[in-house]
Amino acid sequence: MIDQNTNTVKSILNNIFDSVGIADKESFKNAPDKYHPKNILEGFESVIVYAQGNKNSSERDMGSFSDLWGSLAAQNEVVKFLESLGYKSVIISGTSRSVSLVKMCILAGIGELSPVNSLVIKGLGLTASLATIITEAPLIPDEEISGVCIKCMKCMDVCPATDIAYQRNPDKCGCGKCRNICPV
Amino acid sequence: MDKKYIQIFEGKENESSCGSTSGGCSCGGGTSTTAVTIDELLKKYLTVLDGITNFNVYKISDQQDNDEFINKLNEVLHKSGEKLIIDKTNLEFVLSQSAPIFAVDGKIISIKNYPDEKQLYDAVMTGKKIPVKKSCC
Repeated sequence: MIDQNTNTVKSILNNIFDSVGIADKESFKNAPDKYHPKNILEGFESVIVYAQGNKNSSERDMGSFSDLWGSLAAQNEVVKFLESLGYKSVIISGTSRSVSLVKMCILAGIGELSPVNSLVIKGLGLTASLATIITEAPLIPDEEISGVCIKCMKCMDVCPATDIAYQRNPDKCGCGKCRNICPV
Repeated sequence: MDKKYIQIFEGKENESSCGSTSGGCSCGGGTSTTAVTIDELLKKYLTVLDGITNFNVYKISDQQDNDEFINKLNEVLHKSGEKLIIDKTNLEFVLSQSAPIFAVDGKIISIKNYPDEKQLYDAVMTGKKIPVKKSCC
């Protein structure tokens, strides 16, 4: 049953999004309380994360899904499916401040951190828009991945925060130069 | 020429992802860096669209059911060829991602932003969609 539910969820989301992954509750055992999914849904069992690349979009589209209505319909379909099975589920959009979508993506095997601490995803580089569904449904988790970032350091070379990039100076971050140059 | 019918679906105050008329974000929205009410905005629109359009503004409410809002929004989504169906359970989330929504003659021409009067005039005349502003938050 868990296999089947996992496949159904992924099948719906894969129609719209470029990358889909799942992390289970166990993956978050060391997550800081401040960003823990339990703050959103106390009895959560799984976190479904999905990403869409913006490599072919103009910079104005960054941060949002290119097909907004299609993406909302797919997310809605997943929530309705899980809730029809009795599992409460909550969609968290990319602007949420109460969870770390990047951390969730890493735990769900979608990508890994780049040298400038942005999420790098195979084929999407640093351009992805992210969202997640936190659910009470037990689903089969994906393995964390590594080796996506090729360590070319081009993102570091163009980062205006160069020597302090690892500390993520928020005043310097956000120029988008790293997104544009990442070859992944 | 038949009058065009413009529908505006507003999210909750301070909730839209961009273009808030009530100062919900710091980007200033599509019209001005000064917060304006929807009535003031309509006056601006009427400076270029008076006589050729009718407006209807839909707002959601915590105090009463939003059946009319939901029905009208589903009508424009359907007419715009979208398969998303709004109900009470997803209304707030959908609006948080898409409001304000502008439709002309039942078809969506703008989301996530209050267009200025020239943008809206052009969209009404040409039927072309107004590009989505870059996400600000």
